Amino acid sequence: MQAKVFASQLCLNGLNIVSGLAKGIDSIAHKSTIEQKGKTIAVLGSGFHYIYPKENEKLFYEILEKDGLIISEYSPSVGVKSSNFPERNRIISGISMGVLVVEAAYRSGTSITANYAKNQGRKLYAIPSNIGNNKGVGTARLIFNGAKIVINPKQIIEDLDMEYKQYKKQKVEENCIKIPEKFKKIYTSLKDAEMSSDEISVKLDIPIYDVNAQLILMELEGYVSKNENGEYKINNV
Amino acid sequence: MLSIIRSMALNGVDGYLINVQVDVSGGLPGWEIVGLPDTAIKESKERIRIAIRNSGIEFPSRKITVNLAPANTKKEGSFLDLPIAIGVLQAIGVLDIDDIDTTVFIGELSLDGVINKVNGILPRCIEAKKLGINRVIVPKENAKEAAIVKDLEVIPVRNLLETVYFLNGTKKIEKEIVDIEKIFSHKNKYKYDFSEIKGQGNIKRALEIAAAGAHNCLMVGSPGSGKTMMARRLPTILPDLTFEEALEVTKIHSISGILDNNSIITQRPFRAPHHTVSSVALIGGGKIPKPGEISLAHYGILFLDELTEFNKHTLEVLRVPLEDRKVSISRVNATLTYPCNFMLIASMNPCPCGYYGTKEKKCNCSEKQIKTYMGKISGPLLDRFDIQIEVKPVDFDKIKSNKKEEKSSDIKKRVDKARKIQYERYKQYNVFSNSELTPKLIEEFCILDEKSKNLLEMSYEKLGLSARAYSKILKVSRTIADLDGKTNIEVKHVAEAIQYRNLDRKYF
Ligand SMILES: [Zn+2]
Repeated sequence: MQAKVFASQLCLNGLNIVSGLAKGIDSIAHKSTIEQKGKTIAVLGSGFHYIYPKENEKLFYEILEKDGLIISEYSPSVGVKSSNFPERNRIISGISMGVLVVEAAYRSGTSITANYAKNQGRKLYAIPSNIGNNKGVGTARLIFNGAKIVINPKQIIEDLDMEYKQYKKQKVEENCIKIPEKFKKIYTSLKDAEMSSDEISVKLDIPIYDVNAQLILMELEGYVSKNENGEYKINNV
Repeated sequence: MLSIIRSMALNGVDGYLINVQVDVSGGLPGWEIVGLPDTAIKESKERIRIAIRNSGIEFPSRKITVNLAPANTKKEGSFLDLPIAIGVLQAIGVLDIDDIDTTVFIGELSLDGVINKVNGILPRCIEAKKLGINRVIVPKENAKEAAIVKDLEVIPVRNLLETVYFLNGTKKIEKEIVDIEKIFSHKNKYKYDFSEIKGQGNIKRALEIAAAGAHNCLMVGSPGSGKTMMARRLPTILPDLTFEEALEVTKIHSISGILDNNSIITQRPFRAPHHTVSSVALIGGGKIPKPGEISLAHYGILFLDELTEFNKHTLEVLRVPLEDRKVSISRVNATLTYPCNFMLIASMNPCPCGYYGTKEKKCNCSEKQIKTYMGKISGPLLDRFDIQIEVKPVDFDKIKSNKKEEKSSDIKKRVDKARKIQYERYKQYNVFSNSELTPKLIEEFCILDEKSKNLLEMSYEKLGLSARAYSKILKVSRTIADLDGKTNIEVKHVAEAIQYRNLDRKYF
């Protein structure tokens, strides 16, 4: 997962990670930072009494407990209004040195943030992704419009005239490469190709019910995830 | 002179006795039928008169009065033609029938005296036997069906004249006999088998679980991924119908008039109404009330292909019968009830173009279009599906396997075993399968250990399962544990059950 790699390494290199407490990339960015004992800021699009989305309530308090910061330009009693979310993105970019776009669907909220960043004179980075992938269309457009292409965190750190500290990278990799014995067979088979549970079952000659159960356990522990076609892939960090 | 002939009418799926009282007396020639006959019966006067004359019997030009008792129920259909005609002939002395009190007549006449088949013979005969009737005289086409009833003498008749000769003792008619045991021993001849489908282990497994716990199942997949093919084979792995169940299924099909020659239905029904089906055809009802598709699927499978194409209202009326396992139909002066205890299997595309999340073709649907499309199925209806699964076409290049596919009969053995465990476990609760568990019974029988609880909690957080998936995962885990022959639900059972809640994760 690119979001995890970048957030982890950037915070280990001393940057604060700012995001919007939304589902997906936002949550990953906050969580990965907390995991590495880095500092993270969440900018809300609603008042403090209205944490959105609900499932991130836990994350909200975790950020506060772990020395993070929550910012909102609304008074605590202002509720959730979808039109406020693009607005708050100008604060995200405004308080940051630069904006990194991990994935952005065409005309998505992320594209809006990128626009703010440009107008506010902030640095803009994008991770290139497959244009055929819906989530990559926006990114491709950003790159076309002048965002800097980055393929590793080091490039961002150096672009900000800071010194990249390589040794800390180890720490991130360690977390993810220890595969328990019971998962090894399936995990290894997924190294060559992304496969559906059916295909794994046939290829490894393991009954489908076993494969299905193991895949859920592996997914929950972060070893594998599902791609757009419902096939499983290993999570490279 | 007065004669009284017995016949059987229908109310819902049950027959009830009718006394046809015929009085022929002097006075102005004419016909009168009283006792709440519907228009079809009123019109039968002319038909009966001509049928009698065309059978070569002189029709009396006297005053004929017919009373249908009990007079407080509306009689529908033309099944009273034969009893009325026999009543007239008895009253004028052409016939002098023995055992008239213990004989029932059912049949429609055509103008030339031929006796036509009637719907719902089986439920009528079952009730007749209960009321102490020994002998039924029925249209030849219906005879096999009537003969299912034990210890009931069934006389098949083709026309009115033959009936008269038989009753007078001048013609012998062999009584109809059906060998139920023989029919039941041939019951497992299905046209399809799961072994005909290559690969698709995931769906096969999901359907095995569905069959084992009687869980409703929604299949989501692109066109041509084999959804219908899979659904069609589901009856082949369900437990056999018991005789009582077979009788009930046959009754309903008999009332609908779609029973073929083989008298008793021994296979679980598979009904697949087209998405243009009307609410009445699906649920039942109509001017002359008939069971709908949901009742024809009783003890079997109702398959709704392309679920999103069905009229939204039609789908909504499905919800209550799904819960109650019976459907009530309001009539002007009565309420009918038909049973409808079926498994619901439905299929749909993942998006309007059909290719969202597939490799074969690029999906061009916007997120909004997909949301609207999925929104066609209401949350409460979606809640009826314990299992939701994605169906994908098999990529043969990728697997290249010569593995022999498992036969339906082998899968069925496991299903039978799991069902038996459930039957024993819920004996005292009037529940037969895990799918029927109430929240209270779930609490009692779907107990999770700490590890499984943690797993489930983690799934909510990490996989974005919706809260309403909870009870379904528990019920399906219970079934998986039953298939595994385990008393307690284990982590692996819960983990597998989570795999069959695909839709929760992907779209909602
Ligand atoms: Zn599409």
